[in-house]
Amino acid sequence: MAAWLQIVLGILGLLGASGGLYAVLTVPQQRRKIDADTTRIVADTVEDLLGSARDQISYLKTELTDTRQTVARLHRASNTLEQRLNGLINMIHDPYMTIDRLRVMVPQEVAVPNERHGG
Amino acid sequence: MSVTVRKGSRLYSLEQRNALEVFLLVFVILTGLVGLFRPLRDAVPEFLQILWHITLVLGGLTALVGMAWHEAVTGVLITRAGLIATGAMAYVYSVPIWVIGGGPYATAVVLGFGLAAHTRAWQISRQLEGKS
Repeated sequence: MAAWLQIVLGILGLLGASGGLYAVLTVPQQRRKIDADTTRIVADTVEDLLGSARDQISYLKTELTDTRQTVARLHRASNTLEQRLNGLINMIHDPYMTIDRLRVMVPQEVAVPNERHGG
Repeated sequence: MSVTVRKGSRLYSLEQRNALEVFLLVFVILTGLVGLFRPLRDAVPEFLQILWHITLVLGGLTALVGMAWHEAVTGVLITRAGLIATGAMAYVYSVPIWVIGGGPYATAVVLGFGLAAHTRAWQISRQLEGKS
């Protein structure tokens, strides 16, 4: 075998072997890089999940506030109606009440304010 | 011991101790040891033989140590290093085998071993990057 070919092959062989040696020596560094990448991916995933959860919580808080306001409005309306209903019952049971007087009074008493209900 | 790798949307367990791979590496180490103590006569230059057989022994041992490593990711990195060295040396050694008239069969076996070792090293790299 030609001498030059032996030299070339020797150099290539040394390069190959040193490449393997380099790969062994850099294992801790590669391991740290993989750990860092893994940590970054996990952190990004957690951040995404937290962001989504934050959005959901914010949306639910808004919904809860709206629902509370609606309940309070309905509660006030219910009280008003209850008071007016009691008034009407009292008027009906009034021994001096006549049907004509009642007809005159009731349309004014039962006029419900035009409140808009909704979320 | 296994490494979990992602392929698309699925997770697969990467077994480190493939029985065929372990057998081949043990065979490689034995071949290297025999070659160190009983070199071929008048064939491949002596320094190349020594380099080849030492690489076979050390590379094979490194790959086996990686397979037996207690921690999976570091283990496959060590295995990859061993395969890179033995694979590279196989390409180099296949040239003198061909030149001295070793024939296509012997050349193909050595060259094929190098290709297989580097393919496996490439697969490990891809799997660690989550690309396979």
